[in-house]
Amino acid sequence: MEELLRRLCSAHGVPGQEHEVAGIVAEEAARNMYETRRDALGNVVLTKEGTHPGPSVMLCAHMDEVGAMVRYIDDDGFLYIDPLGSIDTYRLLGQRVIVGTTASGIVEQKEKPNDKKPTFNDLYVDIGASSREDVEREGIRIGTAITRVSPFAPLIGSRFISKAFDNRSGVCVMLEVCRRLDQFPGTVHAVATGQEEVGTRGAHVAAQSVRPDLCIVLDVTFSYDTPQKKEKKDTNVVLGGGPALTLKDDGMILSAPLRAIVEETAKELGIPLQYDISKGKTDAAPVYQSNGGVPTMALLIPLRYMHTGNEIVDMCDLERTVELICALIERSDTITLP
Amino acid sequence: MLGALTELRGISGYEHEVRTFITEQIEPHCDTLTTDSLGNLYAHQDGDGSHVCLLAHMDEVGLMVTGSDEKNGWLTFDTVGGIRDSLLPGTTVRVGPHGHAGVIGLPAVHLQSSTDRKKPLPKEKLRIDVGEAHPSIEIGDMVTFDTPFLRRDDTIYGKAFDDRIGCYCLIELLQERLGVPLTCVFTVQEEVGLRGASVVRSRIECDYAIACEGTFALDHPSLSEEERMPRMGHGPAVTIADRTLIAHTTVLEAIGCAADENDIPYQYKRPLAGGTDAGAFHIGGKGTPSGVIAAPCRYIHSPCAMAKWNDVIHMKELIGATARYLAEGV
Repeated sequence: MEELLRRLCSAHGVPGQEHEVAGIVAEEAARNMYETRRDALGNVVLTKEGTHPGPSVMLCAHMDEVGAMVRYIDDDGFLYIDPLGSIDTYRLLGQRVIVGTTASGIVEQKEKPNDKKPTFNDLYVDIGASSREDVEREGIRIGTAITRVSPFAPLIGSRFISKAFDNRSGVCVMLEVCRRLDQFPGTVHAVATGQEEVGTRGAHVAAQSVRPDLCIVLDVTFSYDTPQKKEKKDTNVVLGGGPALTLKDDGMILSAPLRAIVEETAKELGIPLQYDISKGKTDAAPVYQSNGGVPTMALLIPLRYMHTGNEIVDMCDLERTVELICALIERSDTITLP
Repeated sequence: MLGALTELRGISGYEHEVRTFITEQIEPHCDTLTTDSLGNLYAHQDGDGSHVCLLAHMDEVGLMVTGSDEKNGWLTFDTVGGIRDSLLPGTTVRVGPHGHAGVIGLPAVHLQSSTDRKKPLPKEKLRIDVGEAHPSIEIGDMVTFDTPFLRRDDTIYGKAFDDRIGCYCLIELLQERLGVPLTCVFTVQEEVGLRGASVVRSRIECDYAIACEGTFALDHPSLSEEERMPRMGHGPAVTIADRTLIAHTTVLEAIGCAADENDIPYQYKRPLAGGTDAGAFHIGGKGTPSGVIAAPCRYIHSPCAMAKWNDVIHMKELIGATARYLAEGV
């Protein structure tokens, strides 16, 4: 899994420009005998039709990562940018970035560093150009993607650091589940969704075209087991503490019967389970309200420093999430759906 | 005709006057013409190739009466759609179905201290003055800006450019008949959250969609050079991404090719600002590759906007050429 995660995180994919990640997903899918289709929102829908009657299960993990796009190129070749997804200017300032597919650059601010937090209007990207023509020669124009550069590296123990663990770790878990469910006789759809970070748009469309009976969404959640201050109302998810099951966020509330099934399954497997009650939304929100309502759960991988260029995950959490989801899917036809 | 369209009165939810006018203009040119329960108007023409859907919204931003002083005719109100409170004092308006004249007046400046003069008043403190109580004015009545349309050389002035300019382009294109499978949808309630288009998306399926808009021009002296886009008079503005949509590559390429082939100037809209019906529409069904083409107008969402007639004509041409390009296969 580590090698797959490294490949996924090293790929670039801001919302709407997820093709590099989509390529890796499609490659893995072909290896595991899944059919692949892409749609207008950039989703990659992997399908393996089952021979066994039973509910059709959809797995959902978004491919896109937060980033920025070029808004304006000035006469001296500096780039002005706007965010794609929720991204903190403090966390972008001073970061190395890739503009488009090849040009390296750094994010700087117009004013001298002071106490005031810069807005996106105060930032620019320097790619070493001397004129607008220099920039255009690189194929960079308005709308070109800007992605952070941060190499994937192991930390102490089973922990890793990289950009884009949100949500390549979810995509990685999903693909690993597909691989391990080789012998599963039911129908499984695995959707690597596009455009989650700008408002769960891909999942909205995926739900309507796949029309699943049951959906498991894979994403990440904040882990505050650090000196960083957390808000009192946030649940206390810790890194390495196992997958976190969303009970409630701004877009969904988990149904009690589904909660019981997940708890029971985790207990049988000896997998520690954490709970997530948080702000924001995941792909679960549009799916669970689609097609007259779809039983949907979100399993989240604990993550430190979300939406920064250096996120941290624990590989044990990914491994346990894979095991839990495999077990849930294997018993999906015994689940009486609420 | 654009002038007549902008002078029609129709805030979100009250678009019937606009719908009636448009229906009269396009009825002879449509193969089918239908409406739905929210009031969206669907005009379809048959043809060969991929099915293209064009969207333009009929509603305009305005105010709504929330209460009245029965004796004197002072009306309290709320805004419908995004309008700055600071733009309201001094504005002349039309109230209710009969279009009673009114003014959002303030006590004389002579009585105001110099510090008060600098303070903006929130809309809750303002009243619409209709001179005397009118029994026919009721809570919920729509209030529209009272701005006549004016054209001087290439410059046009008026209210509701967002989005009667879009409606105008669609009417003209229906009358020209592009010969491709085309559904023009005149939507309702865009300004209060893309509500009409959210219904449209579950009622029609198409291969491509383009929202046709009157958008902001940002070439204002108060903004820095890099913020001044799009500019009035530099051709229609094409959206790369806004708050509700990331334009599909295929549609962006089609717009670019259609513009180049037909020598139509265009520019890009400032990314990530604003949202359109295409946002609500493109996530319907199995997903629709979508884009936005808009005329850059200064001062939209205010009593009087300004735009260039040539931008409107180029916008209409670019929409038509793009629809043909998409229908014929990219």
